[in-house]
Amino acid sequence: MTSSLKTRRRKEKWFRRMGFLSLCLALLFLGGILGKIVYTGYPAFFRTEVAAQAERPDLLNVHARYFLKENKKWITASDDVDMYYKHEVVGNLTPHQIQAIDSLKNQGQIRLVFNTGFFTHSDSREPELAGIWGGLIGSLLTLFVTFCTAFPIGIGTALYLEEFAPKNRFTNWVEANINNLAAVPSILFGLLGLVFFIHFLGLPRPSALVGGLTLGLMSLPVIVVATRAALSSVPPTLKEAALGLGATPLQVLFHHVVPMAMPGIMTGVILSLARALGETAPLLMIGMVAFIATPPSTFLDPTTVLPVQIFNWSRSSEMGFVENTSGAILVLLIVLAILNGIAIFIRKKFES
Amino acid sequence: MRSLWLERLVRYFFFLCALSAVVITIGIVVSLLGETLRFFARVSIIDFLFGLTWAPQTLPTGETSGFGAIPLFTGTALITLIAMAVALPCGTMVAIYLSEYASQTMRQIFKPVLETLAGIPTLVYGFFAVTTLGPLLRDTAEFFHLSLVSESALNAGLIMGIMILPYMSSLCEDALHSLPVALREGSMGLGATSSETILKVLLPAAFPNLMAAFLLSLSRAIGETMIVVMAAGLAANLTFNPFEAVTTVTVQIVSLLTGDQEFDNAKTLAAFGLGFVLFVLTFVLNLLALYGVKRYKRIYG
Repeated sequence: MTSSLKTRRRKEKWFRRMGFLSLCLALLFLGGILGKIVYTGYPAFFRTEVAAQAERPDLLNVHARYFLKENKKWITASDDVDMYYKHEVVGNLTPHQIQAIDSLKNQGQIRLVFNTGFFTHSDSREPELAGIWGGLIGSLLTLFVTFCTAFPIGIGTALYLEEFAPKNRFTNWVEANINNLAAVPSILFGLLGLVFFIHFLGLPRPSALVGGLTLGLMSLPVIVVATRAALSSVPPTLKEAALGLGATPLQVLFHHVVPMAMPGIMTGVILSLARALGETAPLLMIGMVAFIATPPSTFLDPTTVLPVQIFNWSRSSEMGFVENTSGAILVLLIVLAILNGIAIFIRKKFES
Repeated sequence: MRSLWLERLVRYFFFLCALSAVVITIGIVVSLLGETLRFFARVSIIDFLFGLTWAPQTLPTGETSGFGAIPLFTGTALITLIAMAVALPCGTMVAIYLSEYASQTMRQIFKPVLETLAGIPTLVYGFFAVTTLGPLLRDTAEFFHLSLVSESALNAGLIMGIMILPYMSSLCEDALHSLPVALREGSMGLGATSSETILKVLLPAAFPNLMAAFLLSLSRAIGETMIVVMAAGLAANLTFNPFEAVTTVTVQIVSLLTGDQEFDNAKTLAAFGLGFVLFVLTFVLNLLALYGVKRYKRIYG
């Protein structure tokens, strides 16, 4: 320590500042991304309507025009009108139409309303009619399959490794496999799903069943790792006491160890399902990229999930779809935030 | 003794569950290897691994040239390099700050925040890269009279770095925080400042775990798909210029397999060849991270 105390203190200050700066920078990046998505996405929750009495069918959505005959007072406008009314983007509108919109605005015959269709409609070729209902239902069915496969097998694996497995090379090998699988790129699970579920078993291609099974394979190692951590934190004295009182190993397990570890297990399961919910790449591999305009009613129907729908929308150059993409991402992020919040809540509540 | 019989049955069930992990690994290897071997029956392995031109999309069916994967490997390397250049310094510093300087409440707030951010779907990052960062970079480059294409490696790499940052800093923070307090107290007791303690005592002590965090992040960057599918290019350019468009292994797997999926042409089989390379690469990195560095671990306490 040849340098004087002064320079050492200065170095210390700079180092600390750099750390703080990095943290701020990281949060700024991520906050910027989220902020931008919120900013571009929230207008998707509103849609423009034109009063029927204005009698301007050229400003309306092609499919909404027939409502003119049904005495509806307000009718969904076309996406060009929507974009002009929200952001003053001219797009394909003629100067004549723009004039009409401006005069409608003055007469109060054009308005913004909450876009319920965004949540209740399925995918459409027209941004003003497209909604995320099909994707939401598809995601729900797919996640259900994922949960039903990954949860029991994952818990079983963790219980075996933690409670029953003899310490030998085979056990080590199984452990190594699981730890490695947890870090394998998700796209490779998609390739496995393509070869095994679709080409070998011949299951129908863009279905919730195949998607859910593929995501189940992906979630399995994550659930195992989390469950093992939860199981190993159960104090051994508890097991010994139960065994000493004459409980069988299985009774010890299901009456004492598993209930004690349950908060940790649930946290792990919720987080792995949240990850599966946002996953896109493996689903592209198994052909879940098709345009599907009806929500699935069984596990074998053609299905699309929310992230895939977002991906498909993001490839469209229409401005209305850019807005819809951000809106759908916003919905996805809110769902994920809720799931994460529940996981953190469970962990905090039972931590002590 | 019905219960004993049941005990044994349940135990077998658990054992079968544990076998499933092995079965999945074997399944991945077999399915990839099977198709890869069929691919190498048509295209020579030397041409594939060391060829310099990649153009399977433009080939007529049945043609077997243009499967040289070197441009894909360099493209992946370039984007990964940019990503790690962002994530490594920033991620480590964030981890150091949270673990060593931040107050207990600050740590309790930001640690879950980081973990939540690490769970944001990569699709979201990809969309941000396309709609916001890409145009921003292009305008900046134009301002300095540089030529930067909109699907530049820089765009994809920067976004990937930001994506990996929370994951990496969370892992590094775990590594630092798990070090025994005695190390810190000893160093500080001898008169070292916090930064000296961190740089000269804590970082070397946590080095194996930090290395593991780095390798796992690297493996994640290499296997990352959605960001590059959305933000990187499709054309295979053999270049190390970050302002130009490059393509990656994962982008090509996606583009080869989302189309007609007849299993008997070299185009679709090539995707499995690439998948196999990806698997081997990430497998080696994961093993190094999980077991290789363990040998250098020192035991404290």
